[in-house]
Amino acid sequence: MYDLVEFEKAGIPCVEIPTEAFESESQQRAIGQGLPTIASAAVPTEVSYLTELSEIHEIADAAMPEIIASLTAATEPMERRSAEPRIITIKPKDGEDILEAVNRYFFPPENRWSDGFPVIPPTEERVEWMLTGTERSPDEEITQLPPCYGKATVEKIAINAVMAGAKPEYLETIIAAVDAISDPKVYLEGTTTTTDPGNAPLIVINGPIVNELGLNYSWGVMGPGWRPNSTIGRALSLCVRNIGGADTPGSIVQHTYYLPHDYSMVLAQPYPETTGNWKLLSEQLGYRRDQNVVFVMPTDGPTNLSPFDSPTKPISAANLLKNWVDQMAQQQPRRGFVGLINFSPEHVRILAAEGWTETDVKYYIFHTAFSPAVLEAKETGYTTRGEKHRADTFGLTRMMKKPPVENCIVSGEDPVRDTFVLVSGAIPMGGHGNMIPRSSHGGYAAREIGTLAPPPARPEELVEIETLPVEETTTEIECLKYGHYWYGEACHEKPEDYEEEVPTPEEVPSEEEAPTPEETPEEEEEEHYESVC
Amino acid sequence: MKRRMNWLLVVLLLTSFLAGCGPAPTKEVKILNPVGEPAVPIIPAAPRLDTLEGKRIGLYIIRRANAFELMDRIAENLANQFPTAEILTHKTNKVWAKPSYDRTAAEQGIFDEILAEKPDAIIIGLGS
Repeated sequence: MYDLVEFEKAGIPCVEIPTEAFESESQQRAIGQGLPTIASAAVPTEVSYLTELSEIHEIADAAMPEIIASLTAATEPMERRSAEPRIITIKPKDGEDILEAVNRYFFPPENRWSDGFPVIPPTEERVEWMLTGTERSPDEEITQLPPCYGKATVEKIAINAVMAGAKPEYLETIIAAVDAISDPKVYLEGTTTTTDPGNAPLIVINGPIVNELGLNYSWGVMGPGWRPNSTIGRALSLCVRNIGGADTPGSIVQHTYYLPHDYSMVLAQPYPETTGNWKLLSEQLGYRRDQNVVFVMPTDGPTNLSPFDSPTKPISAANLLKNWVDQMAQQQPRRGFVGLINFSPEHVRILAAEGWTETDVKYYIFHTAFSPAVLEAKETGYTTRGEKHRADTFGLTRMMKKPPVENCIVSGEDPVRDTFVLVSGAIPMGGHGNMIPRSSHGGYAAREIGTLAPPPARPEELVEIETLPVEETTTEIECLKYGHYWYGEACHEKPEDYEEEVPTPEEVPSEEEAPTPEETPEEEEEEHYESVC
Repeated sequence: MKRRMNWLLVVLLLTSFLAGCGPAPTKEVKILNPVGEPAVPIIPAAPRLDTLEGKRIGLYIIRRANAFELMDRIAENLANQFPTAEILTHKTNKVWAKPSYDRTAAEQGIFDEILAEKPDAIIIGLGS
């Protein structure tokens, strides 16, 4: 569609042939690009699944009249989204109260302006109240929001912030989030319209503003129950819907299924101190710790990771990390993983006590998070789907582009800089953390709240993944983070010596030596655990 | 006379009271429109052709499943229906098959090469 628009601008008449399922999405995106007269000759969706050449030819033959007509006759322009009128008068029906009347108007068939929950009516008085949270002019255009490139003025953002139930002191944070999500690196036009479910934007907020606004960074972080977390995230989603135009499923929005995380997903980190003094996400991006920063990243939603062997058994840092990576690797993300890895303070208390920093942990993950499916495919020559494994096809290794270390499930254009290891949540948390993969189509962006400054520029060259051979490592952390094995107070290439600690078959008691049921000691009384309810 | 006037006054007062007890007039509310104004100006579509005879028609393939089979058949049909047209396909120049579907022609460095073929019209498929 983008190519079609450019060809038309160059004066070349075009017609596109989408499948019927995607025709509306392409048309809506073209309207957003300024071409409401896009010519299209859709074919049945099943053409992509046919195996008989004659059936494909039948579909091509049937499409010929419309293809030729589209190149020789003008297409009627389709309706474009309109922001008029600026002020809308809503009259309740008989017996209807004002709140119900407004919310009825915001839903189909009238409009698609709500995420499904009731909205606060954005009256002029309420919007003026919301605008007291900024010194910007209401007419100031912050950005243009994909996929339909609506103008995100301060007033429009404030209107959607009122609808979300936000307060004026949240407005500058919401403005920064809107500016961040429109960054080309985020690729919102792709993440909002794709069949992939992953556009649920994660917002991470850092800096003194966390305490000023009362954002939750502890128990239940990212969950419901906190007005700043819930309404800042909801305001962003409503802006993408109403200003950006990502509002109609099956048309501009093609998610086959979607994620409830899009209602609101806001993570804050404590300020000024973190457990283990691990760097905030903003610092990992290059900002100072005392700057107020909002980070936005479309995601596939968080996946729980729980590395403790049991809630009460002490665990070493090495075992914690091994369990964590085992669980990460089992996820086997389709196109590799890149995104946020979120430890709880309980994990970091253990890790930091043994000297691990967030960068050490990141390198450990790079060197040990290997996909079992990729390893098996390489060893056997076949993928898990039974297809011959070829590195240059739509196989697992191709999809996992540029891993920092061969076979690592972490991948991406610049995985060292684009993977973030955080600490957030509460102590104790029952040993739970999560990994939050970035959407396969999207990127991420950040802005300083207020100034809208992006992260400091970084050198263009890729950061090479560090590694040290066994003989050059001097500490346990150095040994483990580069993928080696530490035992016997020394670093080893492989765990061959571990076999000495594994009982050999001769050591297993024989049947004659095994206690008979009569010799089994009496069963002890079961311990009763008090319910926490 | 005075009694009749009193009764009339009572009836008038009673009627006014009953009228005032009816349903209150419905209120309306004014809200501000949350929709963003489209920022991109309208682009006029390129003029259509009067005929495909004698024209150079490019078939630009987006690599989806069965795209080559579909577009090759369309090329064949066009050649049969418009014998004087020149049909440009991936068989005449590989630029007519986009290397990757999820990046634009410009990003993949083939946009100028396609324009250099001087097509009079372009058919894009399968997909957008």
